[in-house]
Amino acid sequence: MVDARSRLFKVYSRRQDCNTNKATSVRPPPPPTPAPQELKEASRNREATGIELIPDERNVYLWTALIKGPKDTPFEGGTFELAITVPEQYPLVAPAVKYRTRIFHPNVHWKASLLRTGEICLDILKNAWSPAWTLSSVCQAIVALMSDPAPDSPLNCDAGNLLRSGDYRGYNSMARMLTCEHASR
Amino acid sequence: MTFAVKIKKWHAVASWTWNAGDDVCGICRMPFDGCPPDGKYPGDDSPVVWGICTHAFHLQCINRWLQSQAEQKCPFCRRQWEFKQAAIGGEDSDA
Repeated sequence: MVDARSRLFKVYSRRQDCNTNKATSVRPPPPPTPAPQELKEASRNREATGIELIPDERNVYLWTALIKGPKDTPFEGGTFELAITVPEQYPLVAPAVKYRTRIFHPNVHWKASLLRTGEICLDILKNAWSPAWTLSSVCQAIVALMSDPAPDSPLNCDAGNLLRSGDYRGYNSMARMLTCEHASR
Repeated sequence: MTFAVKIKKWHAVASWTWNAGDDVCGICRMPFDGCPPDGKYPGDDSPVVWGICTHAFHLQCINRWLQSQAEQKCPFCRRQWEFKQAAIGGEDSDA
């Protein structure tokens, strides 16, 4: 495990050597990945945001994020796991982010289908993506979405309808119950 | 009292930096004084460019982003991207 990760960084330092024309490497340069910079930013922001970003041990394109349910929401006290898949063209193309933890939220797909469970409807993950975002700031946007659900573009219609009809008590208790059931560790 | 100093040899040392306030490119997150992931050498081979919105990026990075987009917008402020004419002497720095 330590080996794989340190190799990732070694590859990088070699590339920087190439940049200054000091080292010659037979190995072709690895595809551009965000790893070192993204990790640095994630650890810098960790205290302030409570977001933990963990790269996969063997595949730099797969990340896991742990985010905390924000205060004064039915998700408070829960820790939610996100699965992040970084495309090869990153950061020109948005990462694919899904909830691995079940969550009752109007903008997160609820249906227990293999492909769509946990899918998130968030503009910056789709057409409003910009390479100025980072994995860390994307997670912050997802935390913000937990506080500010957008019931008018629902993926989970039950949650959306509760909010749209003004049944906040119904929404809150349902969401809190599922937070307790799935997101409490 | 005066010293008669004779200089036998000397080394001139110079350094350069891009006059870009933010020290890393907002697209590749590499330093402006370094180069983007596909760049080989820092400096003239990895130029830094500004938009009229004052945001700066590596030329390679912003070009690749604009080529992948139908609308030409700054990644930071989403304003219409237009290259800012470079001013001689670098006084257009947003630092």
